[in-house]
Amino acid sequence: MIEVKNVKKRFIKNVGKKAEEIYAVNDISFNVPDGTIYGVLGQNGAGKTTLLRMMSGIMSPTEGSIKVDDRSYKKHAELIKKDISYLSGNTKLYENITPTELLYIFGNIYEIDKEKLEKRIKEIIKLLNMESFKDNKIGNLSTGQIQRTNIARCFINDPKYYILDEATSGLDVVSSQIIIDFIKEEKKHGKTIIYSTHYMEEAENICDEVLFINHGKVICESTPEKIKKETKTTNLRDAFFEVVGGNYEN
Amino acid sequence: MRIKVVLALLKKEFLNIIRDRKSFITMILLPLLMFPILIGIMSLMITMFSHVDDTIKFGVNYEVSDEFKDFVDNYSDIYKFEIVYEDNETLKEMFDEEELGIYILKEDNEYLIHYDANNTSSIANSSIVQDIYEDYKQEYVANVLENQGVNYQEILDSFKITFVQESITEMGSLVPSMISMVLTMMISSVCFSVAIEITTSEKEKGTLETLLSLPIKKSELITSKYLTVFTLSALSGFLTYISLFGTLFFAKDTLAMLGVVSLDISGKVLAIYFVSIILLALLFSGLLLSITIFSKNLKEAQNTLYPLELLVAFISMLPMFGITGSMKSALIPFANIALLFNNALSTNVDGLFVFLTFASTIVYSVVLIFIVSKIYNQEDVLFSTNSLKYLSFKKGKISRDCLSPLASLVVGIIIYLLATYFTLLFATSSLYFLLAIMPITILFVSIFVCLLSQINIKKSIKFNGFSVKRFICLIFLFLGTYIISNTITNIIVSMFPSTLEQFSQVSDMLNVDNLWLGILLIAILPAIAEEFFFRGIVLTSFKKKYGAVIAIIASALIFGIYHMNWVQGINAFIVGLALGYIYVKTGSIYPTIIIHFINNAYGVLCEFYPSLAFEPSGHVLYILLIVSLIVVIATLYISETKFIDKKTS
Repeated sequence: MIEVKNVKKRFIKNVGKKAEEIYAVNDISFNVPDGTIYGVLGQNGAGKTTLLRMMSGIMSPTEGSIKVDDRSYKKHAELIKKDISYLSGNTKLYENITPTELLYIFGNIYEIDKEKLEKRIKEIIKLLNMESFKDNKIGNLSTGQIQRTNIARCFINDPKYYILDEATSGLDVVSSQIIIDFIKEEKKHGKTIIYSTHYMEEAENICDEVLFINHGKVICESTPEKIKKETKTTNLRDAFFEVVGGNYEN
Repeated sequence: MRIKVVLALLKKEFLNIIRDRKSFITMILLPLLMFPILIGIMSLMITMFSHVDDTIKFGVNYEVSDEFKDFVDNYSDIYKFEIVYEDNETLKEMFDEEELGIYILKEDNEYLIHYDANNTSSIANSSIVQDIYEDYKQEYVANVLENQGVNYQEILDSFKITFVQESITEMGSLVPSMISMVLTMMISSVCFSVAIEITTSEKEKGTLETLLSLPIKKSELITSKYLTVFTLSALSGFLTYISLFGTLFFAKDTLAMLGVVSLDISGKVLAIYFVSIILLALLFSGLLLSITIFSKNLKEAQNTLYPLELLVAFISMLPMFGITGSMKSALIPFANIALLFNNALSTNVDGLFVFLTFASTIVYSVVLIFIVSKIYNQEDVLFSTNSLKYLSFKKGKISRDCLSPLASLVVGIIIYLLATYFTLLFATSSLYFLLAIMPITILFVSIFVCLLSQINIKKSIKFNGFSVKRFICLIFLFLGTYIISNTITNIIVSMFPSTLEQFSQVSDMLNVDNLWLGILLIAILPAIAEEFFFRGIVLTSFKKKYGAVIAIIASALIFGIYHMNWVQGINAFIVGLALGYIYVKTGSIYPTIIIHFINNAYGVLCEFYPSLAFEPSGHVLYILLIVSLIVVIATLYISETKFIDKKTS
């Protein structure tokens, strides 16, 4: 279980001519139960990326605490990170390395035994159908192939948690379907997926629980069905506008 | 730190960089081909300029005497001459149609050698023809004199002038300085491109985020990045090294034409070059890693590094300015290695110089590694999340009051190094420029640092509860310390006379001809700049962390060290204590600027009007010392009680 408790993240931004403190994440608390697909929803700039970065240990919170299986990042950063795979939609990969090499390097970083690693890489390549391009440079691959390579590198350590930050944004139907299928498949294996997006329809389809955030604050946390019921709407998109009220920037 | 993880990271960096065709060219091909091409081009140019025809053909418009013909025949085993007799116009015509390279017109008793400046063989041939005519003239004069009964040879040999080389010159001076420049630039340029590739481009592509989400310790990340930059730049440095000494070995003949007398590359030279290359790579890696990480994208990185590249180019050219290096310059980073490259090949190098260069470079590298490790632990830097514009004077809520003591020390070191550079460069050539550039550098660097780190300088440069009465009190305090510092300096000088020698060198250097120029360059500019930095920045930074007392002492100490010699240094230390106290009491740098100005201006005035100088001796000195001590303590007491009370109430 991932527990997020009173987490704040402060940045310094130039607003007009003045420097100001901005809380990208402002006092957020929630728990992610094991074995669920947990959606973090909100418009651009709501603080989704910052929140997920803190949950995966890339950034540290200004205030508050994040615990993964009762361990905190301050003491057990490396240990926690072995259980988490983080994938962001904006991330590119190293262009001059082949997918196979990339998997070996990442496997070594996760300190996986050599024999076990070789076996696992073969499995992953077969599973994700990467046989045809496994030895091409990543710079020469298509977007879909790169996406599969990205998923492959998330698989390598067989993590307990996946944290996916807008992993489908900017992808075509086929490529984003690869990700959606991957999320559904991993849930079946009992994995926990924390997933941020601004595509409400997508979230409605796959999420067990959703968290609406706006201006760095939680505005609603529930299951999609409950939210729709409470707001008397038929889809998550309308529900979002209902919950946010007039309080959004356009 | 886990070695396996570091190795995995290293593998990633190396594969990603070396497979790139562009970096392969800059890192492997260019270093290998650099020197053969360079020396090849130079030798080509030289052979072009010294191309002499087998038979030198020239036209004349006069009847050549038999003596001259015989004289020319003496040269037949070296040069063959073909002389064409024609009138002026035909000669000109033949010259224009390039049948003749040279023609000589005789006007009265003057021989005019016409040649084509655009034609290299014409230039080379004409100088030979000129030599022949000069030799002939000499023989002619000798003959005339001998006919008159004068022994020409004896007069000619009445005295001789011979050059004696003091330094053991192994090579011509241009070649070593050029080698030192190319070597430095080569290593730096590889370092630049690798550092950008593994920091900035990782940030730009977002892969840094992925790396940070992996179970990697910061120390492992930094180690792998540092080793990558270091290994690759050392590698290309080593390739340049092989290409350099290979070329020097195989192109002896060409080098002989370049003015290289004899080439004797000893094992010592080889070893010095090898170690220098390694150290240079070590230093560059630390420096560039700590800079490139700040840039968000490649364009920004290139813009940031451009001035640095120019600076490196400039420093590596130092040997070309004829600077050979003293023990002091062995402590200046980059310049010391450029000088070492040059000196090792051209003259004998001092063992101490080599040691100081190597030792100081290692120290600088370690400091830089420490800085890199600090920087890479800052989220702001890694994600460029702090979007504050650097040039923001506006009073924001977050703007800091002061730098950290460590940061202000680093800035101090930068200023000190710059000052040493400038002294090295301009001390003998342009004194006024040196005097002007020093305070301007201090101001520039400190303002730049303030803007860069969003320090609110307004706070330290405003008037704070400034009253005439208080100022008079502080003047008294200062006068007291002035006398104390003067007395202590006098005592030190009498105890260690060698320190005076050092000081008189400096004070001789500071001899300015014009009073007003002296006031401007020695009193006004330094007072503003030094107060701004030593009190406004250094003292404030220490005060916040360690309290006022330590801050005053530390800033005075740094102020003293900055003066680079014992006499001025100790003087500055004591004066610095007083100025620091005044700054702490008033919270403003204006009073200290005024007092600093008075102090320096008095020194300048004494130079012009020696009667003004105040040099007590014997009993007077001790009495003065005691009186001023009392004055100081009394003023301290008064200002402690009265003014503080007034302020708080």
